[in-house]
Amino acid sequence: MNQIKKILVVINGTEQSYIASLYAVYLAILMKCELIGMYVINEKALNDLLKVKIFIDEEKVDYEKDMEKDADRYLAQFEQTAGKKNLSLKKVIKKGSIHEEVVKYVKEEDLDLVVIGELKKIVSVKDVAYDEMERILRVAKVPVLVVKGKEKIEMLYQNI
Amino acid sequence: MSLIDITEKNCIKVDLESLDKEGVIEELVDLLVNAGKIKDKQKAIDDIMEREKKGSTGLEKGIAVPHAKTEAVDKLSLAFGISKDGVDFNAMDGEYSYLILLLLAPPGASGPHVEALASIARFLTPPVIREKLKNVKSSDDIINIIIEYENS
Repeated sequence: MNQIKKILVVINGTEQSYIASLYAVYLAILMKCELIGMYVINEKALNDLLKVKIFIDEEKVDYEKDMEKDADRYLAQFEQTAGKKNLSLKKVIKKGSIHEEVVKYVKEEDLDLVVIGELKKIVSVKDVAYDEMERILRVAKVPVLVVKGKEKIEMLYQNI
Repeated sequence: MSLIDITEKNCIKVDLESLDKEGVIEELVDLLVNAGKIKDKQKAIDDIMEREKKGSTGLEKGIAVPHAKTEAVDKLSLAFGISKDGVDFNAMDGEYSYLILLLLAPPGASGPHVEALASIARFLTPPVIREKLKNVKSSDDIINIIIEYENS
């Protein structure tokens, strides 16, 4: 019995999340499961910058619009990636704290697996504390797959 | 995003010479020009001043964080300056600014830009950090303070 029915890929515009999306397409085909792409607009960071007055109101609105365009662009790219292998993609855009929105959505939609891109090299303790992908890895209540190995993943995707 | 990722020794100046906001901004822009990070110096300055017109980036407690989205850079670029005598940045508390961090980002990099500004805000919050920065003698001192903070 297929236990993995829904896979969520966290998309953030990085090359790492793009490679994760390739592998997620590969897995979704193999396991015949639903594929979901999620982009979280880091509204928490925007509000923090407004609070400390580094941002003014107009700026917060401007950056939020930019990030909405980024979300549309990167999810459209993922949709195209999935479409090339005849898979449909459910696209989700949320606003808030990145790791919190991911964890919340996983619970709400009863998802089975979260897929994220390779974690960036940690250069400090603060890096670990504040990196959103690290936080997803630590607080998610379902398995989290960290995708590595760009060349191999690209080949798997090409050949499936 | 770690500050270590975006801080480079040759983009730090611990003895800013200018006595006004415009001069300080140009000094910091020059650091980035000399480091090969800015393609068009005037465009960078214009975009920074455009942002300043909307509201001063002089914060409280001697900090200023001028920043802008600009086509003059291809990637996130940070310049760090210390003014021993302070500069009038029209700060919200009316005080002079001593620690000035200039951040430029290309259009289309709003996510990393926001993360970098958030990292800067966190870094400058503890009073002990601000005190240490005001007393530095060299760029190495600043790098060491950042590394120490990031690993605390």
